[in-house]
Amino acid sequence: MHKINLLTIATWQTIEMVLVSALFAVIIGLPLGVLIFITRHPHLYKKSAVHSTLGFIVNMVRSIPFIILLVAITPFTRLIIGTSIGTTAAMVPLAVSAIPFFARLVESAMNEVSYGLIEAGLAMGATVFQIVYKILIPESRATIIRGITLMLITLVGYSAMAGAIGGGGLGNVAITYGYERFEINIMIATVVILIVMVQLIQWCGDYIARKLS
Amino acid sequence: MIELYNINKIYSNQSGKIHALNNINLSVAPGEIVGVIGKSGAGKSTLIRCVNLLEKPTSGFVRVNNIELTTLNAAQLRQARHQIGMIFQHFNLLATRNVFDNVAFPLTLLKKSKKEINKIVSTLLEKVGLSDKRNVFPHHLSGGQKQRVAIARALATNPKVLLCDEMTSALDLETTYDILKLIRNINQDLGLSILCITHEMSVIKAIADRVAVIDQGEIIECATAVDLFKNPQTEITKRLIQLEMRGFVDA
Repeated sequence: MHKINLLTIATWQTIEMVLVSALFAVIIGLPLGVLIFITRHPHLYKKSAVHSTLGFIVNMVRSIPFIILLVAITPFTRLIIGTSIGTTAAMVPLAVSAIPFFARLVESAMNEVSYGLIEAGLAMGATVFQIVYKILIPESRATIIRGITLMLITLVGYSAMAGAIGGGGLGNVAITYGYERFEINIMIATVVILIVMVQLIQWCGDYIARKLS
Repeated sequence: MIELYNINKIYSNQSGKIHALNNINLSVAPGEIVGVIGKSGAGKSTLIRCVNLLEKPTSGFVRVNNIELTTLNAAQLRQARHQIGMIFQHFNLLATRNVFDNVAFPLTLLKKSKKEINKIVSTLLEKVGLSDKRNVFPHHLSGGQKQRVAIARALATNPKVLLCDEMTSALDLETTYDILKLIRNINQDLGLSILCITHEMSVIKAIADRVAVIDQGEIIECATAVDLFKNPQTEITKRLIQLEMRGFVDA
């Protein structure tokens, strides 16, 4: 009974970490991706300096392996949350790694929208803002949903890593009970829960993307 | 009406400068249909995009509906573009919106009321013969139907000028004929000034009052459609007419 309780709590912690950090990634990554896209586009809002600066920052964060990012930004995490241990603290590195990932995803989704549609929007007198939220985002929404699915699944994996260094969640349980105490049942249970979680995310993502395209 | 004065467009890249348009002078009178014909790469696309400043001319003046577009700021230019309809070779409809919402699109940009949009869009769909397709999404439509939606969309803001960029090049012969007939009707009903660019002489023959032949960024010949066919002045024009008369058999 105690073990089931343990797994339930850990599962919720993992879900919480993944969803909250994904939410921040979308809130910050979407405008960032849009900005990267429009600052490169000669007919929208070409600002080469802004584009290359943002591109450089995004590449920089993306090139750091997550396990290193996790420990490297501990001071930053402590600044925001007040501590670097626990589920809430783990959301910070998770979000930091997901933001540039999602920004690139949005940018590449928008690259797939035909230039003809942007041109039609301009010819109809749309502002850059209207082109973004009435043409680019709706026309690339299925690709963006598939990207969110991918990001959520990556975050499930990363959250387990965060768990290993005190972030809580299923990763933490797997390490402390499954690995250090040789409780093989717990280990198997965490793996099964993670598999189910990933399958559910993929299934929902595919379903929504199909509905939207 | 459309007036282009001394338009030059020069693209610069690493390999040098490309003179895409060379001293273009062209006008479309109120209610007139002017066709611009030329081979691919002759500068037709750049020319038509210079009219609504999708491409900014390197030098020269563009005047549409008596407004000098080349002097406007960004907001004024957007305002002016609401008065210039445009249709495209590949239709450029929004795949995530149905027929009604595609036609309503330019009106939503202007924040018109739902009631007004409904009235305008219904009238336009009737005009282009698609009243029964209002809830259908573009990928369920044929090429000709898509172009009809695009035409209705271009007319939604009640423009005085219509730009047609290779409007029938992606359509089969019969559909081309229907679309050209529709454009003719619209021209007569609404008194619209129309500028068409095309590489097909049949389009010119069917609808143009006047024709300009463009080659290597220059207008090499400009005449009424009748005169051009009767008495072509340049080799390029003769060749284009020949191709149209004979078809592809011994071209």
